[in-house]
Amino acid sequence: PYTTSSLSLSHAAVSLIRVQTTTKMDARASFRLPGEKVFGAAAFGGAGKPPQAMFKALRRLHGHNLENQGLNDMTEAFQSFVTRARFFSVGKLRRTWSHSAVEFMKYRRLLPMLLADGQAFDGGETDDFDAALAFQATSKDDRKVIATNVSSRVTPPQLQAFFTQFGKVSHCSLPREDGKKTSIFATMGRSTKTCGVATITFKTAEGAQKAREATPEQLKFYDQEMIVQAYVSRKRGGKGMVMADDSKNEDDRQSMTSSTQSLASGNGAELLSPDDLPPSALERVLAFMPIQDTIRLERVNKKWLETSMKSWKHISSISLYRDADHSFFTKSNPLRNSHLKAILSRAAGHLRRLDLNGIVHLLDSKALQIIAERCPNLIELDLSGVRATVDSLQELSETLPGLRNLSYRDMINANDKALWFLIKGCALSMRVVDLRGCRRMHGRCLRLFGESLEQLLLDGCSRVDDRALEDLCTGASRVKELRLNECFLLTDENINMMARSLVDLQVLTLCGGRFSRLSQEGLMHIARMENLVELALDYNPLVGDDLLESLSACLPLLQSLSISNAGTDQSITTRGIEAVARMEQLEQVDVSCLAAVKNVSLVEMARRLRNLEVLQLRNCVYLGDEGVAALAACSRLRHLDLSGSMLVTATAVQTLIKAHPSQEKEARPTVTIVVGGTAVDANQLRVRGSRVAINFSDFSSINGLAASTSAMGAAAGMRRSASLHNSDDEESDDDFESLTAHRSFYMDAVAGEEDSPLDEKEMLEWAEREAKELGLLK
Amino acid sequence: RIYPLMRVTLTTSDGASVTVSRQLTKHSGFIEKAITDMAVDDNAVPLSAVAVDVDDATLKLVIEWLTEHRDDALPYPEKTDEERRADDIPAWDQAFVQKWDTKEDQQQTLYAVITAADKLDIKGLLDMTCKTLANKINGKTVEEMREILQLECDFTEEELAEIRKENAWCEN
Repeated sequence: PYTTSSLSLSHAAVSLIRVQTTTKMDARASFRLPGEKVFGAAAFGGAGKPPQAMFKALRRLHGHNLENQGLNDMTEAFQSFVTRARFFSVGKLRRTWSHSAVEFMKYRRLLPMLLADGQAFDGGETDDFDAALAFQATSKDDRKVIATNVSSRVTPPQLQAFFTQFGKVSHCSLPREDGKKTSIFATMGRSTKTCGVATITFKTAEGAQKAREATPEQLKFYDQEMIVQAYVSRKRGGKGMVMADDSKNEDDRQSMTSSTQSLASGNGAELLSPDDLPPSALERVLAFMPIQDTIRLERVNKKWLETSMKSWKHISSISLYRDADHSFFTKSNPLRNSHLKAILSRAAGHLRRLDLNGIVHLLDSKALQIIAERCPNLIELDLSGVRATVDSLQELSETLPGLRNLSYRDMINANDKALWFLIKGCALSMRVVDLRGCRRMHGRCLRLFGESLEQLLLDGCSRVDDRALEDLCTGASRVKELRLNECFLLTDENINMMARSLVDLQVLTLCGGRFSRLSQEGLMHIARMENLVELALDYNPLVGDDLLESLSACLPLLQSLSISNAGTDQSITTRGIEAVARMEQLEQVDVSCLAAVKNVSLVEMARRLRNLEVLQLRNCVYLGDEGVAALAACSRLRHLDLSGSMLVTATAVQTLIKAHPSQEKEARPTVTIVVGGTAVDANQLRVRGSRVAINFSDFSSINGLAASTSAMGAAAGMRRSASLHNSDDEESDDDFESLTAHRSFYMDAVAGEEDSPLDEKEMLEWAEREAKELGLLK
Repeated sequence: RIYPLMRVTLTTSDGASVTVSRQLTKHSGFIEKAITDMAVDDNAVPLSAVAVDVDDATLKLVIEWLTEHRDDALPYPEKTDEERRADDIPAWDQAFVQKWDTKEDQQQTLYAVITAADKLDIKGLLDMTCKTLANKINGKTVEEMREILQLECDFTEEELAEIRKENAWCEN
C-alpha cells in the first residue's frame, strides 16, 4: 500500500515541481492541497536537517494551510504558498526531488502525522492517500479532544501550552473563521478571529482522557471555561464539529450525531431518495453541472436520463470553455465535431448563445454546418478560433437571421471574402460585432452593416482602410461604440466623417502609435463628437495640449479618458493636464507615464474631479506626495494605481487611507491603492478602520501595462487582446513572473533599508539630475 | 414593502409550530404569498399562521439559514447563464451544509432541505443546496454517481451499451 500512496504522491509532487519550474497556472486544479502536503514531505526527504526542526517547520506550514482552508482561494493561497516555497528554498527542493523519490519512501510513515487533522480535511482531499494511512489517522482519535468555547484571544501555541498540564500535546489546531481578507498578499496581517473550537492531539490517550475529566475550574483560560469533549472523526460518523452549546458529555458519542440523525430518521424508517426531489429542483441541480457530467448522468438510470434531457431546456447559453469544465478538452482530447454535435443535439433549439472561444478543438467547416442545422435560434455566437471555408460560413450566416452578436476574433487567416459571407446573411440585424485581430481584413464587409449595429470592435485590424470606414459611416450610422486601436490606415477625413455622421457615438478608441495618415488637426474632429462618454488615445503620439483643451471644452458627457503614454513630453504639458482637470464629469482617468503629471496638476484634478472613481498614475515620475495626498478629496475613489511613481511615499498614502474610513452603516466599496514600485514603506502604513486595501504589485512594467490596459477596459492599445486559451495562459504566467519578481525586489528593498546609499533628499536630487540629463526637465 | 416587526407562526407537517419574524419569511415566496392572500384588509394583520408541508427538524435548518441570510437582496437575483456555476457557495453556507455530511445521513438532510426550499420557494437556499448536490456528483464516474445517489440501474444491458457507446466521449 505504501508504494501506491507514494506513487500518487510523487505524481502530485512532480506536478508541483512543474509549477515551480514553469509557474504554469494551469496546475490550478491538480495542485491545491495534495501538492502542498507533498511539498512538505519532499522537504523531509532531502535537506539533511534534523527531523525535529523540519517537523516543526512542516507543522507550521500545515497549520497555515489549515488556516487558509486548504488553499481554496487561489490567488491569495498561491501567493503565500510561493512565499513559503521561497522560504524553504525551492531550488534545493527541486534538486532533491529529482533523485529522492527513494529517500521520500523512508519518511512516508511520518505522513499520517501531517495528515492528523481528519477534521479539517474532507474526503476529496485525502483521496490521494490510501486507506492504510487514513486508518492510522483515525486510530489517533483516542488521543484527541475537542475544546469548545475557546476565547478568541487565545493563540494555538498558548492553547497548546495550556493543555500540556494534562499530558504532552503533539498538536493543537485552532481553525480561524474565514473572515474578510484584508489583502491578497501574505505580508498583510489577517484579521480573522478564531472560531472558538480547537482540536488538541495528545501524545498519549491518557492525556486526552485526563483532559476530558478535567474540572471546569481547570479549564478556565482567559476568563472563559472551555468545554472538552471526545473527538469524533467525521469519517466515523460524527458531526465533525461539535457545537459549543452541546452538553459536556464524555463518552456518549451518539449524542453528538443525534441532531442530524433524528432528522434523517425522523419521518419513520423510509429514506428519501434523490428521485423524491421535486423535478424542478433536480433539473436545477443538473443545470449547475458541467456539460459532460450532465451527459454522463444519463447512464445512471431511466429517471435521470429523462431529467438530464429535460435539464437542457434551462440552458440557453453555452460557453464551452466555461461550461464543459475546460480541463476536460485538452490537447490530447480536443473538442471534435462529433462532441459538438452531441452537445448541440441536446441543447438544440433552446440555445440562444454559443461560445466556442478558448476551447482546444479540432472544429472545422463541418462544425459550422452542425451549428447551422441545430441552433436556428442563436442570438449570440462566438466562433473565434474556428477556421472554415467560405461556403460553410455563408451557409451558417444564412441560417441564422436572428443573430445579433458575432465574434470572430484573431482569425488572422480570414480574408475579406470569408468575412463578407460570414456577415452578409445576418448583417442587417447585427448589433455587436467583434473582429479584433483579423489582420488580413481590408474591411469591404463593413458596408454590409445597417442601422442596428451598435458596437464594432476592430482593434488590430491594421489593413482596414479609409474606404471601409467611409462605408461604415454611411451604412451604420447609429454605431455607439467603435474601437479602432491600431487601425493605422485611418485618415483625417475618416475622423471628420465619423464626427459628422455617427451622431450616437459614445465610445471611441484610437490607441496605438503608427497612425501615419492621421494628423493632429485630424484628431481635433473628435471634439465634435459631443456624445462621447469614453475616449481612449493611449500611445497615440498625436495627442497634445490643444486637443485636450478642445476636448475639455466640447465633450460635456465624457466620463472616461485614457491618454497613458500619449503625446510626447513636449506636446502634453501641465496645460493639457489642467484641461483634463476641467472635465468635471470624468469618472475614470488614465494619465500614466505622462511627464506632465506633477503635484500642481494633480491637486487641481483632485479639486475639480469630484466624480473620480478610477485613476491610473503609473510611472508618473514627477508626481510627489503633495499631489497624491490631495486626492483625499475625491470621496468616490475606488481604484488608484500609483505603481512606478517612485517619489510617492507612505505619508501620502496614509493620508488617503485616513480619508476613507470604513463605515458600518453603509457598505461602501473598498478602495484599492496600488503602490508597487513606489517609495512606500509597508511598515509605515496603518490600514485599520479603513476601507482601503493596499496592493503591493507593480503594474508599471511592460507586462503589467499590457495586461492592465485591457483590465481597465479603456484601452487595449498595446497589443491585440489575446483571446486564445494558450496565449491567456502565457499572459498570466508573465504577469505572475513579473509580480513575484517585483514583490521580492520590493521586500528586499524594505528589509535592507539601512543599506540604501542615498537618503531621501539625495534621492530627489539624483532623480532630478537624471531627469535633466535626459532632457525631461529644463 | 417590509414589515420588520410582524411575526408569522409556521405550523409544520409534524404538528410543531414556530414563530418567526417577517424579515425572514419575506425570502420565502410560498409564505409571503400565503400571508398576502390572507391579508384581507391592508393593515389589520396582527399575527398570521401558515401551515407548511415541511417537518420540524428541516424547518429549523431552513430558519437557521434564513437568519444568516436575512439581509440578502430581494427579489433574489435571477441567475444569468454566465453565473451557472456551482463553485461559488459562500463560506458560511458551505460550513452549514457540511454539518450534515455524515455517513448515517446519506444526504437525507440535503434532500429534505432541497425539497423544503422548493416547497417554500426560497430561491437562494434552493440554489445553494442544488449546487451542493451538483458538487457531489460533478466529475464522478457513472458508478460513483449511482453510489452517491443510491440509485439502482434500471436499464437493460443493451440499452446501457447503447448509451455508453453514444456518450463514450464524456467518460474519462
